[in-house]
Amino acid sequence: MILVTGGAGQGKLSWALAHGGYPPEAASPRPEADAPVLTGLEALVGEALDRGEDPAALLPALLAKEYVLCREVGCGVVPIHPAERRWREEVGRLCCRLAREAAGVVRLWCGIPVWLKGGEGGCHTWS
Amino acid sequence: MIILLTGGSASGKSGWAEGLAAALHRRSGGALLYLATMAAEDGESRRRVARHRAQRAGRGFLTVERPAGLRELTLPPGATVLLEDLGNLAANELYRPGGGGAGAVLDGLERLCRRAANLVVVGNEVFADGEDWDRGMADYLRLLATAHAACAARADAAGTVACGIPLWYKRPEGPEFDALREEADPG
Repeated sequence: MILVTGGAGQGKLSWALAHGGYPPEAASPRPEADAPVLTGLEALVGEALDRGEDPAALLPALLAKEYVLCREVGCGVVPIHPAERRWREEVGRLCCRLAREAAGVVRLWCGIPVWLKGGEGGCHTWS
Repeated sequence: MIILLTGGSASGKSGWAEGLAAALHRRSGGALLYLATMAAEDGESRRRVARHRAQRAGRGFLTVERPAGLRELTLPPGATVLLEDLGNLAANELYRPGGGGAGAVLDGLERLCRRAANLVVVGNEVFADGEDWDRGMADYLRLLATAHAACAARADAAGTVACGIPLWYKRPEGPEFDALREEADPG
């Protein structure tokens, strides 16, 4: 599984589809869908918290995907509402856990993939 | 050595900063101080403090609660200092009664840079939500960004943590830093 993160509109989905050689139908926001690319993990974490569930319960389904896309949501001013703070932190923590298990971690910036873990020739890598 | 490490909420920045400070301390000896800037005044911040304390436990840090007033802080000679974090320090100096304003943050940071044998500073990535903030928040964001930049300019190494992995924008050449980084990895 490759974890793909980055801010909104930075090119996560385009990159994942191109990197995996997939058509657009290969992407789904639902973890139970038979699709190799999961989009919008940040929304799934929010749904789990709304239901009073631990977002870590998503881990097995996430690890079975080829690509998991998660918007980076923790880089703005700390929200006033406790539920929003909790959501940002749970998204961040789940991404830290996923990154430990992932074969690769990529952060998209202006459409450019920056490999945080793993990686291959042709892409920018920092260490 | 001076290191600046920033990150967003729950990015894993603290674990790395602690690992780096502990690794620097193993090389230099002296005191190992954790300068805690968060004033734990409600249940949520107390839980946050408790989580960070548990994460640091057993690493040999002496915790010094210092929500503000770094200009007046006296350090033992040869100390390795972890300052966590600039976001809270800036808010405390700007908004708490008796706070010293922007000058107290920047001068305090400069003093730490000069007096500590090793300094690891935790910063906060809070600049990317696209909101058009009012004057008060804009002043805070500008101060924090200025403090980050001042620290990065002084630092031997500066980077940001995402998904528990640091990206170094500035780092010393050579194998010593690689060894330090490997030793600091919180895993």
